[in-house]
Amino acid sequence: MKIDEKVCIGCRACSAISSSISISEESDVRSITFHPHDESMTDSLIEACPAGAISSGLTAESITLIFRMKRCSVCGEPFATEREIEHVAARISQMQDFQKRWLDLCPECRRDGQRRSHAVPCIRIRGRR
Amino acid sequence: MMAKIYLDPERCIGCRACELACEREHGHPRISVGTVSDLAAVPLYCHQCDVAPCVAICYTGSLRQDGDMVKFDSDLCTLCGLCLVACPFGAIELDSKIQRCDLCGSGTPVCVMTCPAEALVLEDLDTVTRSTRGRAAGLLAARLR
Amino acid sequence: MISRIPTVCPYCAVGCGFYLTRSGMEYMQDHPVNEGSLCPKGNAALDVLNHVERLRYPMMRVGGDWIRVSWGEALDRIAEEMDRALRERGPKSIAFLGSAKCTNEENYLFQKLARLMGTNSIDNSARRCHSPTIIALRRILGTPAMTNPITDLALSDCILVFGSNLAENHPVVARWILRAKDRGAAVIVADPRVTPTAWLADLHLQLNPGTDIALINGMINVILREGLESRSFIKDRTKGFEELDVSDYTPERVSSITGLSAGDIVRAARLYARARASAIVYCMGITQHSCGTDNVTACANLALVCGQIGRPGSGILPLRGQNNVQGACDMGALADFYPGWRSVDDPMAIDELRRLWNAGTLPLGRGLTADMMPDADLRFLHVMGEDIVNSDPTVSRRREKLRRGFMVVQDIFMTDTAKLADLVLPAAAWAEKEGTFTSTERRVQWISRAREPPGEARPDLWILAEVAARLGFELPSDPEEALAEINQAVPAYRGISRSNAGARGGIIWPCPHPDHPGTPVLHTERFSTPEGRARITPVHHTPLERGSPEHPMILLTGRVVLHYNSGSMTMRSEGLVKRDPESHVDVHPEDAEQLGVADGDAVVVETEWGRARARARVTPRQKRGTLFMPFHFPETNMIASELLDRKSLMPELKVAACRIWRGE
Repeated sequence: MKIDEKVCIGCRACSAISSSISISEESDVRSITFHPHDESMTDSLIEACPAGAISSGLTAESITLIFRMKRCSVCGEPFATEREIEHVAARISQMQDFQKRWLDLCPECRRDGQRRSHAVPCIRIRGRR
Repeated sequence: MMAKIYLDPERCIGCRACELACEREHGHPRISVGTVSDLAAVPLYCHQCDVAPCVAICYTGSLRQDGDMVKFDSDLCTLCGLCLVACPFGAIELDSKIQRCDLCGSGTPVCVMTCPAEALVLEDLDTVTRSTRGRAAGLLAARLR
Repeated sequence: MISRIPTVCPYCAVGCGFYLTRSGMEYMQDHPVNEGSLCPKGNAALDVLNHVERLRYPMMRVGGDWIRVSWGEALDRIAEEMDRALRERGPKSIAFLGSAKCTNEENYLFQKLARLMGTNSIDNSARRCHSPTIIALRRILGTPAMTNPITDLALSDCILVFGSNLAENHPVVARWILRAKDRGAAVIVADPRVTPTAWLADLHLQLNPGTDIALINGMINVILREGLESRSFIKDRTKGFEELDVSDYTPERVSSITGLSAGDIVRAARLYARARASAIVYCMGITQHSCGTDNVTACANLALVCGQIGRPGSGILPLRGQNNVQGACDMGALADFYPGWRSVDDPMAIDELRRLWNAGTLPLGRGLTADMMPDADLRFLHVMGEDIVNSDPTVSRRREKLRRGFMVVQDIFMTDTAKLADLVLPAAAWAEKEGTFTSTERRVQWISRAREPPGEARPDLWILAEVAARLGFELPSDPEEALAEINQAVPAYRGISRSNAGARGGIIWPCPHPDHPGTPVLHTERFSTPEGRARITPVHHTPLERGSPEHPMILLTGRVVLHYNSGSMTMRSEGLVKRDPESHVDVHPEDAEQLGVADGDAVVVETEWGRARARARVTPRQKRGTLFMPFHFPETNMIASELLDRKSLMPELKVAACRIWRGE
C-alpha cells in the first residue's frame, strides 16, 4: 500500500484494521506509523480510509506521519487531529442550520454544554424560590 | 412520529441508576449523568438527531438515518472515530466499538424503566410537549387555588 | 422451569420488587412501590450474589490461620462454647447480634434462641438508625412504624422532609414525592446541607445542625398563634395538649437558634398546617442525635396539633434503612423489646411468649446493646449478618475487645467483623433462601429461592435450627413453619402467610387474620396506645454546644447514593465502586479558602474521638462551618461521636465537633 500524507487526516480507521499500522498520541501530536505490509490487506484498507489517502503499491520502509492535535477551546485537552476537524467541518458545512461551533470543544465539554443548557433554566427557576 | 428518550431536567435526582442499568445491559454505559453547579443533575445520551452530523460524516453507511432515528450497524463500522468528532453532544464514545444509545433495540429502554424519578421517558415529541404543557397548566391551576 | 422469579431488593427498606432470571435481572413493572424502577444499588444487586469473595465453607481460626472445617464440627463447637459460657459465667456472659438484612423468620428464631438461653442481650442495627423512633412513636402513637405507605405521598398536598436525603438514600421515594409535586404539592426540606433532596424542594430550610426541635416548636408556635391547629382532632384524638407550651418559640427567637429567616419558619408552618393532607417524612437527621427521641417526639407533636395523621396522604413516615429493619424490630431482635413490641420490663406481656415457647422463665430487663458489648465481659458472641465493626463507632474503636470470648459470625463475606471471629460460617444471600422481609412501610413480602448458595453456604435459618438442636431444643428450619409461629407471637403478623406475603406487593401489617387485606394507613379511627389517644408530649430545645476552640467545626455524617451502610456489599460491586471509590469530606468554598484546602486535596479530619484521612471536595452544597463525610467508609466511623441519646441508646452519629487540615 501507499499512503498520501497530504490527504491522510490522521483518523483511526486503518490502524483499527491492520496490526502493521500503529497509532500513538503524545500531548499535541498523534503519530501513525505504517510498517511494511502484507499486500493482501490493501484492498480493505483502501475501502476503510475515509479520506482516500491509501492506494496500492509497494513500500519497503516504515513511515511515520505526524498530526497536530486540536485542543479544546474550553478545557485545553487535545481531542482530535486538526485535519480530522477540517474533514468533519467540510462535510457538515453542507448540512443546513449548523454553526459548527462545537467543533472547537472536546466531547466532555460538549456534554457539559449540553447539560448546562438543560440545567441553567432549572437553576434559575429554583434560585428565585 | 417515533418515540425517543426525553428528559425532564426538573425531575432528575442524579442517582445514576440509568448509567448502572445501561452498563449492565450493554457492557458500557451509553448515558452519563453529570451535575451542573453542584446542583442540577443531567443525564446525557444520544438525541437521535433528525439531521444528524454523525450520519453526515459516516462514509460507510454504518450510521444512517432511519425515519427520525439514527441506526447503527457495527458490521460496517471502521472505528475511524470521526462520528465522535462530529457529534455536537459528545454522546458517542469509542472503546473496542462505538458506544451510542440504540434505544435498547425494541421496547422500553432500560434507563427509562429504571429511572426512579421518572425523569426519562420514551415518548414521541408531540406527547412530551402535550404532557409538559398539561402538567404546567395543572400546576398553575393548583397554585392559584 | 420458571424463567423468572420475583424477588425483593436486598438493599434499602423501600422494598422494591424485581425479577431474577437465569442470567440476570428484569424490571417488575407491576410492583406497587417501584413500578419497575430501581436505584443504582438495586441495578447492581446481582454483583453481590455472584461475587468471587463469597464465603463458601465454614472456617475456624487456628492460631493466625483460617482452616476449613465441616459443618458438623463448626456447629458442635458453637453449642459447646455457648454451653460452657453459660455454665461458667451465666447468661450475662453471652450476647447475640441479629441482622436487619436477615428475614423475619431468622430474626425471630435468633432472638428466641437468645431468650431461651436466658439473655436479652440481642440487638440489631436498628439501634443506630431508628431506636428513637421506636421509643417515641410507640409511646405517642402506640405503633413504632410508618403510619402511611410510601405511595401515599403522591396524595399529600404538603410534604415536610426532616433530616432525610431520600433522593440519594431511598431514591424510589422521590418518585412519589415528584408525583405529589405534579399535583401542586409543596415540598419543604429541612437539612443543613443542599442535598439532592433539598434541590427538589419548594422551600429549603437550611437550619443549623441540632436545632430541629426549635424549628418544629417554632412552627407549632406560629400554628397556634394563627389558629391553624385542628381543635377537633386535638380534643377527640389526643391528650396532653394543655402541657404543650411553645410560647417561647417565637419565629424571631427560633430564627436566631436555627439560622433560618423568621419568614421561612412562618411560611413552612402555614404550608404544613393549611394543606388538606400533609405528611412528615424523616430519617436519621432526626434520630441520630443525643436528643433523637425528643426530635421524633417534636415531629409527632406537630402532626398531632394539626391533625395531619391517620388519613391518606397525611401521616408520619420515618424512612428506615435496611430491607428488613422494620421486621427485625417487629420480631424483637432488640435488647429492650420482645416480639410484637412487648417491653422487656413488662412481665405480663412476656408471659404470653413464655407459654407459647413452653419456656420455664424468660429474662426481664434491658440486655446489652451493640455499643455496650465491647466493654461487657462476654464469653460468647454470636453475630448473624451484621458488620458491626464498620457500622458502630464505639465497637469500631474497641473491636479487639469484642473477641475476648468465643465469637461466631455468619455472613456472606469475610467482613471486618468476621475477621475478628473464631468461627466464620458461610450464609446464603437473600435470593438463595426463602422467608419474609418487612419494608419501611410495613409491607411484608415473601421471597423465593432463585439461586443455589455457593459452596457449602446455608440459609441462616438452617444454621440456627442446627445450633438449637445441639443445645437440646427444636427450632423450625422451614421458613413457613417459623412464620406460623410468628403468627402466634406477633399480633400484627397474625394473618400473614406465604400466600398473602407472596402475592405481588405482599401485604401491609397489621394483618389480624388470613383473609384480612392489610392496613396501609394506621390510626384512622383510634391510636394504638392503651387509651386509644395519641399522647402529645412537650419537648424542648437544648443548645448543642459541641464546638470548642480546638474543634470549631461540626462534622455531619450521612450516606451517598452509590454506597450502602458499612459497604460490605457495595464496595464489592465494581459498577458502584468505580463511580465512588474513596472517602471524601465536603467543605464549603469559603471555609476551604480560609483553611487553605483545595478541591481534591488529601486532608485529615480530627474529632475528639480520633482522626481520619479523606479527600476534600469543595462544594457550595455544604453549610459554612460544617463538614460532611459519608459513613460507608471505615474512616468515618473511627471519628464519629460516642455520646448517646439516653432514652434510646442511639449514638449521636450525626454531629461531632471537628477540625480539618491539609495533609496526609
